[in-house]
Amino acid sequence: MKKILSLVLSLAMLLTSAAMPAVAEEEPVVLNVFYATSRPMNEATNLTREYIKEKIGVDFNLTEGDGSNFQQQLALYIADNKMPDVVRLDYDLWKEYAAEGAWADLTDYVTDEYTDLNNYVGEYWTYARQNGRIMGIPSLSGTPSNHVVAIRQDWLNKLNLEVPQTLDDYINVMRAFTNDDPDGDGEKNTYGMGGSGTGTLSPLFGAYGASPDESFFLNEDGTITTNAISEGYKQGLKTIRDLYAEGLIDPEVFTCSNDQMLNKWCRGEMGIMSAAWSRAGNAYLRYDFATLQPDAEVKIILPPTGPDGESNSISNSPMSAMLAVSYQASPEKIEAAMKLFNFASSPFGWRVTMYGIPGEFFDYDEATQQTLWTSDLNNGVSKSGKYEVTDMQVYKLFNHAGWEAQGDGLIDAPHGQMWKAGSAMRFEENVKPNVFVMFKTEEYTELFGEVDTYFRTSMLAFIMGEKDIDAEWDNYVETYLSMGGEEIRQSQLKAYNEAFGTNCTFAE
Amino acid sequence: MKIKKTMGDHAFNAITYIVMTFVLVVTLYPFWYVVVGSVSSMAHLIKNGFVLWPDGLHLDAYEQVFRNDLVPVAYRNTLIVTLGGTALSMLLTILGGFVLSLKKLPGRVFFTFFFVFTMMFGGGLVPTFLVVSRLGMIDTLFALIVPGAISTYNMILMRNFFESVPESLYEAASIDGETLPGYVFHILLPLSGAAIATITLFYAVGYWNDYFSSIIYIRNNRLWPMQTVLRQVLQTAQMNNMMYDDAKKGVAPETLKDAMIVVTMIPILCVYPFVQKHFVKGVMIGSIKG
Repeated sequence: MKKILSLVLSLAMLLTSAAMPAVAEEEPVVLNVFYATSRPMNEATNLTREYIKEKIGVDFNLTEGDGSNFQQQLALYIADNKMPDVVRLDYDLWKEYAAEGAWADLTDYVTDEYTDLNNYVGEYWTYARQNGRIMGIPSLSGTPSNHVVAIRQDWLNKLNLEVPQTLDDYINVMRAFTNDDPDGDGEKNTYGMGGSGTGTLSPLFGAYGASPDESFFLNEDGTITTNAISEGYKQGLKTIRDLYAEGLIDPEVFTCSNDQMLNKWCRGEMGIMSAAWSRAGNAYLRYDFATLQPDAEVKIILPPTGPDGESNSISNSPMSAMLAVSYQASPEKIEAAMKLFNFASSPFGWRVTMYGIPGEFFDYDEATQQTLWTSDLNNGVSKSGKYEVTDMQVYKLFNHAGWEAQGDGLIDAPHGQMWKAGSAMRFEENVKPNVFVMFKTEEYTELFGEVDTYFRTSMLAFIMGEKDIDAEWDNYVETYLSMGGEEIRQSQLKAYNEAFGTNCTFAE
Repeated sequence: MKIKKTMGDHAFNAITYIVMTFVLVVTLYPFWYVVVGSVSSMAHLIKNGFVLWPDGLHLDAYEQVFRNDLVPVAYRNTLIVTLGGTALSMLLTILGGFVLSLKKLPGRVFFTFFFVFTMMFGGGLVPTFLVVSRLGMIDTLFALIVPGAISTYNMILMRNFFESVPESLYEAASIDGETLPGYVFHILLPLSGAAIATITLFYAVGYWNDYFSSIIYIRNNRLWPMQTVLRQVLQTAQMNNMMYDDAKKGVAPETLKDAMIVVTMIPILCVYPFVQKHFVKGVMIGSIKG
C-alpha cells in the first residue's frame, strides 16, 4: 500500500513539475492607482495598459475616483488601512496628507536613472518636498496661461474693422459689435464681449498689467505687486465698470456657465468670447457652430495692449496635480511606481498615455520628438478601423500642454484647427505668473476663503456700480488687508524668500 | 338621487381641472424635455432653447449610450441589486413589522426604541465603511444591498398597518388550527397587499436610484449600477465643456446626457402603472387606525 501511495505521489509531483515552466516567469508588479476621472475604460484603453505592461514590466489597476467625493473616498481607504499604492490628487490635498506622513519618501528613488522624469519635472522638484524630502511627483500644466480671446472675423469684415490691438481698438470693436448690428438681423441683440465668470475680464485687466484674481507679480526691481490692491487693478475696474454700464459686456457674464456661454456664442450673441483656449474648437465639435453660424470666421487674437504698453493673460498654476506613493508601499512597489512615472513622463510614453498605442492611434518621430499624426476623435475609429477612438487619456498621469498642442494641430477639421490656434496662442500671449501660487501657507489655508469672497464680491460691486471706486477704494484696501490679506501675503512672501533665497518686498 | 350641481360646484371643478392640468404639465414637461432633447440635434436645442418637439429623430446619442460597454453590465447590476435588495428588504421589513405589532411581545417598547434610535443616530460614514469592509463586502454587490437592507421608517409603517388588523382575526384563525407563521403568510399578508405594494415600490425606487453606496463601496467599475454610470456620463458631459477631449462623432454632451437619463429612467417608470392601484391606498397606511 505504501509503495502504491509513494508511486502515486511521485507521479503527481512529476506531472506538476512538467506542467510548470522550466524557469518561473517573473510576474509584473501590480500597482493600484487611484485618481478622480470620469473617462471610460474600454477595449481600446485596455490596449494601452497592456502595452505599458509589456514595455516596462509594470501592471496597474486603475480605480476611478469620483470627482466630487474623491477626498471622502481617499479618507475611507486610509481609515480602512487599505491605501492605494499610487494616488493622483490636487496639490493642496497632497500637501495636507504629506504633513500627516501619508506618502512614501521618494528622495532616494529619484535617481539619475530616471532621465525622462527628471527632465519633465526639472525645477519643480522644489514644490514636491516636505521637510526637505521628496514626497510626490508633480504633474505640470506646462503652459503659462489657458485663457485666450476668440473674435468673429466675419463681423469685423462686415463692419470694416481691423483686428483690435490696443485697448482703445478693442473697446471700439466691442462698441461696434454691440451697436452696429454685426449679424445683420436688424435687431440690437448682440454684445461686444461675453464669457463665463470673472476670468472673462482677463484681457481688460491685462491691459493695465493686472488680472481678475489674487495674483502676486514679480517686478523687474525685485518687488512684488499685490494685484488685488494694485493701481493697475483699480484702473482696470474703472474701465470695465464703464464698459459694463454701456452695455458692451454680456450682463449675464458673471453667472453664465461654460455651457451657456457656448450656447450664446453659437447663437451669435457675442462678437468676442474671452475664455479658455479650447472653447472655440469645442463650439465646432459639439455645439454645431458651423450649422448655426454658417458664415462665421473665427480668429484667436492676442489680448489688447493698454495705455502703458501692458498686456497680460490670467496665469495658470504651473502644477496641475501631484502623484504620490502610499507610505504602506513596499520598496518593490515604489520602484515599479517610479518606472511607471518615468515612462508616463517621457515624450513617447506620455503620448501613449494620451493617445493610445502607437501605430494605431498615433505615430511619433523619436528624432524630432514630434507627433506625426493622431486619430481624430470625430472619426470614431483607429487607423486600422479595429478600435473605437473614445477617450484615450484614461491613463494619462502627467499633463504637458506643449506636447498636447503639437497633437492638436494635426487634425484637419475646423475644430482641430481652432484648437491649434487656441493652443498656440497660450504660448504667444504675455503672461505674468503668480509667483505665490505654490506657497499654500497655514495662513493661506486658514484665511483665504473669506478674503477671496470679499475680493470677488467687491470686484462685482465695483463693476456693477454698487460701490463707487474712487470713494470706496481706500476702505476696500484696508478691509482686504485687515481681514487676513496682509497675514496671507506676508506668510507667502516669507515662504517665497526662503525657497528661493531672495529678499523680495512688496511694491505697495 | 342625482344631486344637481350648483354654479359654485362647476366653478370649483373648473378651477380644480385648470390647477391640476397646470401641475400635470409642470410635472411632465421636464420628462418630455429630456426625451425631446435626447432625439434632437444640438443646433435645434441651442437655437430654440426650451423646445416642445424634436427636429427629427436623431438616435446618435442612444447609439453611443448603448455602445458604452458599461451600460449592459450596469443594467444587470442594477437589476440584481433592485430585485435582490427589494426582496430581502421586504422580508426583513415584514418580519420586523409583524413582530413589533404583537402587543404581547416581551420588551416591545425596548425593541421599538432599539429600531427607532437608528432613525435619529447613525454610526457615521467611516465606522459603517469599516464594518462593511471587515465583513468582506467591499467590491461586491452585497455592499449595495445589506447596509441599507432595512428602513426603520418603512418597518414602522408596516407595523402600524399590521396593528390596524383586528386581533380577533388571529384568534379566529388559531381556533381553526392555524399556527402563527401560517396566520402571517395565509391571512395577514394577503390582507396587506396595499401596504406591501407601496413599501416594495419605496424600496425598489430607493435601490434603483442609489449611487452613493457604489461610490463608497465599489472600486471595480464592472460592478457599478446604472446610476453610477449615468453619473459618470453626466460628469464627462460637464467636463467636455471645459476640456477638448473625450467625444466621438460630435455627439453633443447635452443630447448624450438626455439619452442616458431616458435609458436610466424608463424601466423604473414602467413599474408605477402596475402598483398604482395599491399606491393610492398604500399612502394612507397607518394614518387611520381601528
